[in-house]
Amino acid sequence: MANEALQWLERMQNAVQTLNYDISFVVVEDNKVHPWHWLHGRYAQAKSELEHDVTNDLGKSSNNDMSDDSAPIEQNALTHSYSKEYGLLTSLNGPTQQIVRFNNTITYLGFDTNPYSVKASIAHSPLPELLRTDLNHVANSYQFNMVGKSRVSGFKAQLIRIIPPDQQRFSTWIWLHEETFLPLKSAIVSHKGEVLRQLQVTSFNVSPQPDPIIKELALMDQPVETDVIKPQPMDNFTWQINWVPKGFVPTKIDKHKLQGSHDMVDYIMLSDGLVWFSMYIRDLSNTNQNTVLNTYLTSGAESYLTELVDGFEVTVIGSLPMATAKKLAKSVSNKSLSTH
Amino acid sequence: MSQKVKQKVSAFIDDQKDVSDVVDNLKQDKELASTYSRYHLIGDVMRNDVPEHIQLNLADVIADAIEKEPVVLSPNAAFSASVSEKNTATEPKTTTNKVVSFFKPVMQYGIAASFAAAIVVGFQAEQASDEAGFEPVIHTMPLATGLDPVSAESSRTIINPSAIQEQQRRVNSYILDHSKQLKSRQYATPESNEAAQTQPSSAQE
Repeated sequence: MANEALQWLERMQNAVQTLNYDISFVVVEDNKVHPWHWLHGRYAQAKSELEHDVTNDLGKSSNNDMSDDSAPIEQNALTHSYSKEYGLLTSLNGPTQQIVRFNNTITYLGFDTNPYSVKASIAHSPLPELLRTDLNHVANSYQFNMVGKSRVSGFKAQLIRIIPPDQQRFSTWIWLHEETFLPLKSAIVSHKGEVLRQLQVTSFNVSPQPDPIIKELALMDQPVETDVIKPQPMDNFTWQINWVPKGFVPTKIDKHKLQGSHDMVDYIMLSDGLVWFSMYIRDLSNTNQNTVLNTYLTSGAESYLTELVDGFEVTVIGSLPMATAKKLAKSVSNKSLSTH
Repeated sequence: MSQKVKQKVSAFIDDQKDVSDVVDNLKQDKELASTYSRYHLIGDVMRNDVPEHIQLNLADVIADAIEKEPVVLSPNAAFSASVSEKNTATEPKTTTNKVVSFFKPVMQYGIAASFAAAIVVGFQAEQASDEAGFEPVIHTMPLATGLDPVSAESSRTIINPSAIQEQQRRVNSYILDHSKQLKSRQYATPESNEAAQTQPSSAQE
């Protein structure tokens, strides 16, 4: 059964990345509702370069397509190797925010004082990381369970639960469309069964051809990746994190300056493939500050914690239960001190 | 381009601009210089080089200010923070622009503001119920229901108002930074695990 669930998730990832679709959904958390519109498609973008090859490849099958100036037929496996992936996520309430995908370059518009682009396969977006993460890594710690079928957004859907091995993190439930494997609903659920964050598809349309807006997007100049300030590498991470839930490994370690502040912090990001959380450690000995207000905030499934631990300010942010964040913070110790 | 497409696109584009305009804009950088100074102002606000009393509705103030901005071009060369730090306003622009700010920059403030709001709500509620003579109590308990006892136990601290401001500034910084880190996150790989000398020990409980 676990294998079957994994297959469903693999098909979902494939569908999310290859199909042409137009989906509206809402995200519900903390009694707030955020509606989003999600357009996605593939398009053979460098048409002039490829025209020759493509016409050869498709010469026999796409005669009726020649009058149309649109891209070659999308289902053709050959065109997939030429076509690129485009996506456009737009917030519908309040100030407009957009997340634009040009293949593996993500552009954030309306998120910051400057729009910027980064190379990344997983965007920081309202969509679950599960749609694009490395499922094998997730499978190291989580169990995939086929649960049952139900009707979601007017369609037949298969529910799959991604169950953590412990109570240190949240479960993810996801309902997949039976025919296309696209997600129709997802939820982050605490071990007590509380739904902390929900995504619900409200309209859903899959088409053989990409939406005209996707074509517009494909014909625009490609965004150039923003030069990110290179963080100082840490030759020697002097912190020992003595407790981490099983399956989490560091994905980033550096020392950098916080935006909007002059404080240098030691930074580490850890991931189990489904959750990415940040730990910041700030040495207070070189500052005139000797107290830290312990702070605990939650928003949906996100937890924020700042605590004073052994004279250091430790901050944990991420989609984890507060108790886990607290345990993580408490487990930090300084290697150089502990050797004495 | 069909009317329908135009409408759809214009729905995405805040200013009701035609797509062709926008595409043209992608290739120009005329308005850069004039918009730069505004960005600097915004950058100052972000770095808190603003009057001492940071209002709790800072995000709204910024949002309002930004709301009045026209659709602008902006450089793709750097994150806002580095742009402001380098004082590039006086330098000639050599980069071409590929990314257009179709929309107003608010989101990151939005995230931070939603967390900050949690503090404010708790703070006001405490003040209202407390007897006079007490220092303001900040109630930083998570808003979600079903608290873990471990976090509830130490969730109250008596502090002075300037410390609250400092705390909020710090919380905002961390949340903005986390959000930025998530945008350039990497897959976990065994190599990175080894490279990191932390080797966190796993626990099963």
